[in-house]
Amino acid sequence: MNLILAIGILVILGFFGGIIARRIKFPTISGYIVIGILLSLLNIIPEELVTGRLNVITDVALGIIAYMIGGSLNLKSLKKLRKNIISITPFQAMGAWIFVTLLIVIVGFAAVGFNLSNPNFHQTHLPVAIVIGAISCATAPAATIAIIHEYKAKGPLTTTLLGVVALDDAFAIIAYAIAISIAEALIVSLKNISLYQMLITPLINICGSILLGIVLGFGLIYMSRFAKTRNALLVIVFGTILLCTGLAKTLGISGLLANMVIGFIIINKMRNNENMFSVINNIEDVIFAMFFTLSGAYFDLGVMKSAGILALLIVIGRCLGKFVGARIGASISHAPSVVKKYLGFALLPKAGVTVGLAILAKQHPLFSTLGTVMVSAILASVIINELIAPPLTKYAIFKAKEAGIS
Amino acid sequence: MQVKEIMKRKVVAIKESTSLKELIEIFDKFTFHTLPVINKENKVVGIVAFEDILKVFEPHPSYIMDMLRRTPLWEEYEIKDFLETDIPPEIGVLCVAEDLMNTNVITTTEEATIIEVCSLMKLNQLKRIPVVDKEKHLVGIISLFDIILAIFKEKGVL
Repeated sequence: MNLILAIGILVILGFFGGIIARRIKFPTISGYIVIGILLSLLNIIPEELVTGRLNVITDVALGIIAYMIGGSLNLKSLKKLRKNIISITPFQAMGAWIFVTLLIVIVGFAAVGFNLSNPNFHQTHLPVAIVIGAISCATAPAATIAIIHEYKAKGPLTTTLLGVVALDDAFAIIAYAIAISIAEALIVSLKNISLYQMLITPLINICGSILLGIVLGFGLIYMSRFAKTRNALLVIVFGTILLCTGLAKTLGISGLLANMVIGFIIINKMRNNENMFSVINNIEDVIFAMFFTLSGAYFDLGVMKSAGILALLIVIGRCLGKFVGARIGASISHAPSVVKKYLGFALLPKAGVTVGLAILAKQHPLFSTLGTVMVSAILASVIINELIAPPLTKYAIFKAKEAGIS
Repeated sequence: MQVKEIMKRKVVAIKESTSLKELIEIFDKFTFHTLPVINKENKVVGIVAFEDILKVFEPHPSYIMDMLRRTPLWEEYEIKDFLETDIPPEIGVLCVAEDLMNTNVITTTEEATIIEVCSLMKLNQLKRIPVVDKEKHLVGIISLFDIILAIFKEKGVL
């Protein structure tokens, strides 16, 4: 099968998968992923295409996702957020990160029984667990709002939930960038590199990504003066996202973080910035249909025995981490008792950013051994989450007495 | 040709305190798509499009919803969702223009040329742009129809 035919199949079948998902009240992205899994199971798109030349779609889609997430971080809106949202968001994200990492480290690898060539734990298993933990931070805003809307929920729990999910994806991107840097540093420690170098390398990566984003963000503001039509503006915005992703790859820094910083600079430093994001809407649907259907195609039934256990651990660790983290954050910020008691139950939906980061991680050399298992585990955990998250969110809303309908 | 030659100097504008009920009546009467919002000093502080009225169906804080709308994979409500939403009748007086307006306003000046304004309209998908002076005071409004009318007049058609 040629590359263009594969892309055509991904887009068209993904599109219809999205329509079916919406009809049965699931997020569009779930439809894309399920179609991708079916394409993988039926072996319609050859594996060498999925893991080979189609990889470029991942970089482009994640560049756009990161840019949009950066654009949601308007400082004027952030300042209006209640103190409990600012406090709970990092705690619930860190909770998920720590619990998932610990569960995978303690139970996961023993249960899965991997026989890796290098038995040195902190240079093989630990980096992978840290990255999977970081990927587990994200919460899906679209799925959450769909449930809130369905039950006409309103009140302190609902407002806090909305605020946390609005910020959470940005945290997931930062967590992922830090996790990958830590993982790389742990791995290079094999080569007798000093502790100073191990600590300074992640810092240089993060600061370099932020600096690249700042430079390209202001560059984009300057270049936008030359765009007199929306099509011209799309060329400049999309071109800058590609430039950023490509430069970050060349420099070995985080393209995700850099693109998020570009979005952040545009929303906060440019007047009349609406077009800088709305022009991307013209192309994001086709790229997301392509990307998330492709993500599903990474699913490998052959590794499900191992991946299934990891998926369950991810789900359990994430549930515990979100619950404990939200409770600690709520206690520190003296949030209302309904927020303390029930918010953790409502933070479980996940999909887009989680899957995106998993696919990106798979392409990293760090995951050369465990990549397929990790992606299949995360895809399976997304499907499990689709089933358990809505009833738990509903439980939280009803227990908090914030549902507008019985 | 400059904006000041063809702009309308009599502008239907609303205040930040204009109620939703009054706002809907003004939209119904004048059939404009957008209305500039001015403060006590006659400075333009926002703009309300008639679709902004739909924000009243949104029960959550607008600053959070604005953040969420910008996140990728956001799925907009469908029109049937609005039909199913209950809103209290008193919202007509409780909700004011300030709650609904967009503060990211595109404006132009009297000295701008028609070509510049057309470019601004095309880029931002607008058909009416408030005209302001250096201190951002509202001095007029220019619409795409004003420009078309002026061109036809210049060409001798009218």
